[in-house]
Amino acid sequence: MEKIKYLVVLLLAVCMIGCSNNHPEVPANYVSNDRVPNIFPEYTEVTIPANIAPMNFAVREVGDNCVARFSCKGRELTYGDGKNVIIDEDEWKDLLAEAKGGEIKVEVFVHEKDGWKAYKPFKMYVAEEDIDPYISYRLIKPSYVAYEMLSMNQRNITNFEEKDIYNNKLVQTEAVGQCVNCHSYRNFKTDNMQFHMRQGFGGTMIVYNNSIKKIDLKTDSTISAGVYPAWHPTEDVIAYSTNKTGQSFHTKDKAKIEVKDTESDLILYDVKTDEVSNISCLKDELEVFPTWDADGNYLYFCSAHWEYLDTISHESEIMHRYNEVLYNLYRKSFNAKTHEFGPVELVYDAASKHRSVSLPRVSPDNKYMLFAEGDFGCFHVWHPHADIYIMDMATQEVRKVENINSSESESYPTWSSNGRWIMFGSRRDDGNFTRAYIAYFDKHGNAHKAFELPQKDPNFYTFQGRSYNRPEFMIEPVLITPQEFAEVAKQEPIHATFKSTKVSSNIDGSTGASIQQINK
Amino acid sequence: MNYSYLYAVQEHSLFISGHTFMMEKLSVPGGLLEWIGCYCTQFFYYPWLGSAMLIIIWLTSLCVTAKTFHLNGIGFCVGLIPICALLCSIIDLGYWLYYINNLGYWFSESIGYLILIISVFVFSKLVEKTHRLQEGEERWRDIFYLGCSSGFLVVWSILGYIAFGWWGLLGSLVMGIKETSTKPSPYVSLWILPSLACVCVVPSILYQFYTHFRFDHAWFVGFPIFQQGNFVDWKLSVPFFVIIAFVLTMAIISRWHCMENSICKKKSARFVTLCVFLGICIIIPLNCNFSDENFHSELRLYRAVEECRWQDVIDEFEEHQDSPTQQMVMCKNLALINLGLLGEKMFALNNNGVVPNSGKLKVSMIVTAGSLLYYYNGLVNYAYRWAIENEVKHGLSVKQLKMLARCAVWKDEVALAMKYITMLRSTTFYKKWAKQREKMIANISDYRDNPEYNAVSPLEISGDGELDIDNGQCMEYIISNYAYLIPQNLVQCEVAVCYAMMLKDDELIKYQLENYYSRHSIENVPKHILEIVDIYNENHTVGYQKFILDYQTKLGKGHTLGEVGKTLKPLYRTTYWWYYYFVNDFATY
Repeated sequence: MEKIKYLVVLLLAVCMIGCSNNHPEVPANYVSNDRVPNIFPEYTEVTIPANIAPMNFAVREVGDNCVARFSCKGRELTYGDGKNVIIDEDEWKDLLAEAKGGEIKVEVFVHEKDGWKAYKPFKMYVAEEDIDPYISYRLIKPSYVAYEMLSMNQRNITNFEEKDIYNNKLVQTEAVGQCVNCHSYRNFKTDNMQFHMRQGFGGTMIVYNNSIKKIDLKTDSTISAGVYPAWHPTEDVIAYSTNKTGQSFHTKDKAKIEVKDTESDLILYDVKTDEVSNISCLKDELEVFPTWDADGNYLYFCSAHWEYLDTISHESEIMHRYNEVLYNLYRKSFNAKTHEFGPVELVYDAASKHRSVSLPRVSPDNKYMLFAEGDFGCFHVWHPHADIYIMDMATQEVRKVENINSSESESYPTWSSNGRWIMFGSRRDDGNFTRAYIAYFDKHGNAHKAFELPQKDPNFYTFQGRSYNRPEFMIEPVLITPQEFAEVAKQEPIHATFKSTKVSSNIDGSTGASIQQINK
Repeated sequence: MNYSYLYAVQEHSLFISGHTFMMEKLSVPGGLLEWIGCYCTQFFYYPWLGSAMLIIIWLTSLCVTAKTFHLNGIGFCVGLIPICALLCSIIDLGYWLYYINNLGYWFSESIGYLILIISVFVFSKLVEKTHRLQEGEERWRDIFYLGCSSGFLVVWSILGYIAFGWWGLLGSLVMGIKETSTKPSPYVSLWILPSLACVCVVPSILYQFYTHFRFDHAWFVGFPIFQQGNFVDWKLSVPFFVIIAFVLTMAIISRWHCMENSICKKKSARFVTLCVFLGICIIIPLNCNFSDENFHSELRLYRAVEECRWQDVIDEFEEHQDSPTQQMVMCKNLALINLGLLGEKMFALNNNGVVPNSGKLKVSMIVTAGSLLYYYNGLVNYAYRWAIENEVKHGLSVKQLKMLARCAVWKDEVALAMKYITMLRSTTFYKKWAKQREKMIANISDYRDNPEYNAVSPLEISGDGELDIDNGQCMEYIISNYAYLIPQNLVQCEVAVCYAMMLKDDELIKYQLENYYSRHSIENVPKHILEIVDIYNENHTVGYQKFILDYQTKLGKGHTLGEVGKTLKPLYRTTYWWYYYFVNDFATY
């Protein structure tokens, strides 16, 4: 019995030691250094929300040990374990609550051969406005054709919890693979959402008022099934692009790959009736990336004017002339009562500047629009020349967003539900893997320095080999389990039917197309 | 010991210390076993060390098997059956080496078996104590042990499944069968029921917590199935069926018999039995061994090319040049380019490769050596691409990681290179390699002195390159790429002519000959280039005239072209003429 007692006490002691926080002492003697420390991820002078997970980082300076002191309004916390700074979650939450609207000062001390060195302190600014607690993204190896490992994941960004929404390994077989892509939500909520599955068990998974159905959106009258989606904010309709997409590979260029459409149109899918109708299907236009404004009164989209010379196959021609494909930004008004679209209006003529726009997203207050802009094409995730731009919707003035771009590719910008945070995919870490970056967007329309999605292990991104595709904000988690999705995925899809509608078009003269009425 | 095979095994595996790698492996039931397997597989870096570890695992398994199933004396030999099966399971893989998805396979199955046997042994010991129940002594203690045994069975079924996948479930089943007695008893005769319940229920419940496998795979997740598309090579799974049959049979019969007695009692018969078992255990693995010479030669050539040991490539190729694979031919040509002998020896050394002898398994060069061939042929983007594609399809291995690091260093993508180098620094045996690369990044002159740089540099295309598609056919793409290239230096000129000659496209050859002679003096022109010039010239050399005469004579005698080629091969196999006239099919894969 005595032995058991000792054992219990020993176990409790081990548990207490394990659970206790290690707060190292700040060195009493040190030499000051006049620069900020080299840390990864780069979190110096960033603005963060008060509900974000601990901003753990690794100190990448020569040395064998480090201490970081976080201070705010007289409260001080120290962390440091070897070269990593891993912050206790509960203490971090308390610290953020105190610092809300203010700042946290961070001092980093590194132990080198000759003793301790203190680096120039930096600050983390804590915004007044919280961020949406959940984000979702597709995790994909930066591969080109192969897609054996694909999952859509949701992350609670107030802590480190990450779960699969869906994983292609739940259904794919050795003989038949499955690609999953384009997760999309209505109004940041998950009771109405969708994603696509291609090849094996193909179809579009639609969650409509929390019930799941699998739809085949390809009809005889459309060039493909739905691709890039946009849920209408109030109506039960989803706008999609339909695309014939191909890829080819650079023999030498840093970009390595070009993804391009040989044909593309826009369609509207009625979630209630499973009917598909045309929005835009002009012969010499490559329409893509639809997105609604906050009220659903306008559908914005990108379109490139493209005339084939028809001397070789379309695939070969676009492969040779890939850098001539330039996308502009257009919009069509939408009548929510009749579900009819108005004529096309040119919103931003990027082509005239030899630039190309993709992935537009309107802010929740309808004041701004973010998009990715590069030298050509629309698949900017592979273009190091692509950056995030913003348009003031009132003045239509376009500018490159300061503080958030890098020399590598930036793409897929998106807004949080309160419009105060923007998230985008960036390859700035290494030029090859897309990571989710978040930036504060203040009331004056300025973005603050972006920070990388924090991870529990600060070296996570070094050892993790998958890209964060299509990062999206959510105000709630997806509650349908991956297994439930898999069950529906195995079922035969409902086939959408095509509904003929009058499609009006009015492409701006600069692109060559004229006003026309198309009736398919 | 097959040194090159075992070394290649660890290059096709990877173990990175740290949380991220471990969590990736643990995403499926049996992930821990794969993780341990990956850890052990890296020791094949020194093939003797990995082999010794494997032998220790097998010997331990043999001893525990004997203890668990009461295999005493001559019966001990029966325990060799699963060991023999495990040995067969790793020596018979051949080209599956490139397509296997469990990167710790070479150890994980042996460790899985060992753990299964240990768990059955421990359970037997616990159950043994409950047998006192029948003797009526200290009933409360027996009930305690009965509870322990039951708890062990349930906990093992859950944890065993999580950690060891199908081995865990098999363990639960064997426990139940083995301890189910035929003797009427209120407790011990019912072990099979909880065991079966656990086997049925545990995977279906735990499926809800995993997202990396299909429900219909839940009961045999991790079981080695060798599948490519719709083709399943069940032959390679036979060792595991043998093991399953063995442990289930042993579980049934070991309750009633001591194997020593069950076999026979006569000394002579025991000796014969021992010999038969040992014979079987030696003969079967020897027969199972994938001994295709080209396969092993390819492994040696790959390593020699990777380490820029160009003369070793030629030496190795010359030993196996009767019927080499196209991959061997490509390696040979790379070596000749780097030795400056392409125009001299390309066709003198057999340039007509065959597809690998891989049975129904469809082997693609893009998987076996695509990245390496692209890299050393100066197509670094394509090398990087296929290292990534192969990683996605077959898992990240040391081989791919080294290639990714190489490409990133070459492309001067420092941050990306550092990512891969850091990963390699977290392995046990590639720290030095990683440090060398790190040094190259820091000091460009270090890089310029590297033979690898000197090998790739002259072949890299100039300018911005273009947009293209290789359709997964690296050999065809490399040859066409150079045959159609506008060459920028003398090395490229020679490669372009020779690869155009390989395609036997007269217009292309003439175009590349013009390029060649515009940069090269008419003196010291390599043999094969003179031979093609001889074909196009109106005034032929004596040698070519003799070849034509022999050719026409044989053909005039009513022989087919193939027969003529065969007859003339001993005389003219080292000439381009023979290739030009008789090689008409170009095997690609």
